[in-house]
Amino acid sequence: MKKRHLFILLLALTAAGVFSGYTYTFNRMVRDRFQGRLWELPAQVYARPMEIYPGMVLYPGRFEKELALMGYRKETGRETPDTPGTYLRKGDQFTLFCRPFDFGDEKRSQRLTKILIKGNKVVRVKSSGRERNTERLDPVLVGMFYPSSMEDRRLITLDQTPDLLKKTIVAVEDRNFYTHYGIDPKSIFRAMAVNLKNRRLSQGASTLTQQLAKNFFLTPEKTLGRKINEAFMAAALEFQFSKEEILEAYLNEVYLGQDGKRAIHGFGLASDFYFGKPIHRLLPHETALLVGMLKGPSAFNPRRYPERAKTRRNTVLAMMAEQGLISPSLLETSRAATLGVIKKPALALSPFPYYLDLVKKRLLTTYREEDLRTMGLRIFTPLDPQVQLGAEQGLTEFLQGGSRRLEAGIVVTSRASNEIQALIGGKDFRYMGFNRAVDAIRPIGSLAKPAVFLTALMQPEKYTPVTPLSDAAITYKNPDDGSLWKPGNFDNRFHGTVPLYRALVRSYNASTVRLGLSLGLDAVSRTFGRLGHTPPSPALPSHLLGSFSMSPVQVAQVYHTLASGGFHTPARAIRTVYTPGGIRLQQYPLTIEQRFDPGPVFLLNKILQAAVTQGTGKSLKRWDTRNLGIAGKTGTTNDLRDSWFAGFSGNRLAVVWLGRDDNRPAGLTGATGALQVFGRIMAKLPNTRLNLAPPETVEWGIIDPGTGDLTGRDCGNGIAVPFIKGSKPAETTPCPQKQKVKSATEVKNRPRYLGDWLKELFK
Amino acid sequence: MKHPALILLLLFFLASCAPKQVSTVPRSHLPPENIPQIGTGSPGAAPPAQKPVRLAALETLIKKAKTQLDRNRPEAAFTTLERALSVDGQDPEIWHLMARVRFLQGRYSQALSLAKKSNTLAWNRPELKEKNSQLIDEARKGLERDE
Repeated sequence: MKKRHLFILLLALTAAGVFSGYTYTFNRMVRDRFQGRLWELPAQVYARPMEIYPGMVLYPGRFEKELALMGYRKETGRETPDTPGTYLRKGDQFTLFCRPFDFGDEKRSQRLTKILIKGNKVVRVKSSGRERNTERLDPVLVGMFYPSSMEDRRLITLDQTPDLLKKTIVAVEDRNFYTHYGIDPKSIFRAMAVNLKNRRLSQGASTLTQQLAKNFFLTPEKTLGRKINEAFMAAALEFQFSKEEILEAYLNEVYLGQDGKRAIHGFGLASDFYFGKPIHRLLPHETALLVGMLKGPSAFNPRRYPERAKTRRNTVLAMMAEQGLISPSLLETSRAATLGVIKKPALALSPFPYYLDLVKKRLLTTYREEDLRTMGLRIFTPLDPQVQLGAEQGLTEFLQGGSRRLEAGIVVTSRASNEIQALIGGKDFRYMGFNRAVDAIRPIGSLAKPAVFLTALMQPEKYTPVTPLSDAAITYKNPDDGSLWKPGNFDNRFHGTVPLYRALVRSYNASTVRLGLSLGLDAVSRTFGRLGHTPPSPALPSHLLGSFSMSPVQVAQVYHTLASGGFHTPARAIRTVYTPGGIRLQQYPLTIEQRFDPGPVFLLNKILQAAVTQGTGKSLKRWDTRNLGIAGKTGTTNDLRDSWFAGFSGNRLAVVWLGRDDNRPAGLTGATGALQVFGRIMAKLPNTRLNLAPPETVEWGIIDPGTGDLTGRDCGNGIAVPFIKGSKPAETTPCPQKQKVKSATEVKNRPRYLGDWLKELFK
Repeated sequence: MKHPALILLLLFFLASCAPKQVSTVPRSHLPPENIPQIGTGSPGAAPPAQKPVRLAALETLIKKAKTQLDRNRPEAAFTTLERALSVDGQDPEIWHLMARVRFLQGRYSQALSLAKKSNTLAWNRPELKEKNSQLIDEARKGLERDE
């Protein structure tokens, strides 16, 4: 064979090899990429579905805010709403046209629901004409995990898509769509000719398949090499998928504009974004506008360039008429119509980015980040927008007029289930910066003290709430380096001998340290660990005063074990995870473990209630107008750098941290800072009274608050204090008064026993 | 005392006006009435004599959970009970039913803790406490069997 022929043969073989290699690669890429799905679907994260029932507290203004977040549109000037996703308000009567929704455990269809609120309480709920004891509304969409390019989707299927839209797309973008094999040679030659004439690559000849390929994998470029890649990709797509599947992918994939950082992909989302309606309600001129934008969504952005967009729309309308898709008369009316584009929807990314951040962090421990971003999971959380909005309002009010450098980390959970209802990671609620509620690890100061006192109360043979403790000055010598530590009290005084409960109520340092050293540092550390957070090791004396650091969420976990009476329940930010098809992938139900006997925890909680009524927390009174019996602890660190409060009511627990990001002094104590925020927040939320249930291992004694001694019940100034059974001091101090004065309460005293009753009768 | 019988009758009559003792419930752990308590400053509240009136919503959800349990759908029942907790987290019957669900699923450790939790809230519900005690015993046996 001649050398020349050999050379040509080799060249041909090489070309064939390259060609097959390319084909194989792209086919493989397409198959792998789209295993089971044609596009990346972000995971959707939902807040808790609102449970509405007669008797519940509901503030109409805040309810309306949640309706807005749910995407419900307010209507006026009619008797009943006529579209799902709309509502009317007449005074405090709401009429909702509820959207259909799949809650995971139940599917509800669309229905009319009437809710009547009186005095901030729901009095009546009616759905589909029937009175209801309880009704569930579709939840707020908190956010979505986007693929790395921040894309968003609203999935539509071919059968949901109006014929006119499908046909218009084909007519305008790819007339030979149904007959070509991915690339359309006629169009290519035409385009090449035009490009050669203009000496640049301006005319596209891309089929829908090529556009799809371009959108999926590759960065925007306009080179010849790119065109070749696209061609191979398109061919691979045509090989693997039917025309219908390709068209459906195109409908969901194609780029149609930008909303800040979020890209608008797909006609479903575009229809929503530009016209505020689903695709099946698009009018012909609206269809024309969207299809017209395919050529250049930025260039033909109807909000920025309305004239240009209108011209383009009318060009498309002409093409539609030319193809017989619309009648001449419809063409006329459509051309005359205004653009009809709505003002941009208020909802940008997530309204609650900090909560979203927590959910994602928690999910990452179970799923890979890739799966999270691509599988289209439906994630239901316990986020309660009513609580979240109330908490935000409370913080905002406190910060008004204050230092601009002050920041906050706040978490609110349910006392019963420890589900996280609200999370504030910073004072700028809508912008996800540093999530202080989860990631700000700060020294907790006096918040650590309850663990010391709980350890003591767990030894009733040695310590009761009235055991005298010495609050004299104390010097601790470090055995390792001989250095001396002299913890002072906040008021720079020492208080002599005080009953145990007072040392905690007034948050005295000296007596706490003495107590902690007697109990043993390891014992206190173990208690803290059982409460839900292991302090650093080795245990140091300064840990007794909270010299170690925690985040607000970690503090909430510890205080929840106290609030629940000694039971540990892990805090949750996720309830259930479903696939887009409705299969339950993962559930996170309530789990519980009894870690402490209820007796000592009850004693401690009573003392924490006293800390609020008489101790460092007493300025809470200003906000606690309903006398909720809140139990809690203030915390302040050195130089007033951190201001903490952790407390709970009958149904809610909240932890507030205030401080500066640069760790400079914030100038606030726990009482002047965090407690005030806590108070404002609780005043804005429906709370129930904290009625601590005395366990059967408890008995009561009456003590004289002045001396801390046990007295008889007739003294008239005593307070009832609980003790573990058998640990009540035997000795009583007689009443200070010589004569017994019958108080008004004694006269009203109803005797409990027949004997007493008779005595009263015959006195 | 001219008519002792009459006086006795009168005494009996008057005695019947005295407040009744709820003898089945031990009371020594309850705070003394009319003495301000540490922490709250107000006198100890006597527990309500009868079961407090429940919100209709709660009754509906509890009933639904019981039905789901009867139809052998324990996980669905547990989800419904969690919904009930968000209405009233201190109702001991909800916690008791949760304990029963876990017991039926063989999750004895959870059943034990949930029943104990129910007991801490069953102020004045001796019949519920009894059910919880039974469940606790059975759960303990279950745990021993599992070991």
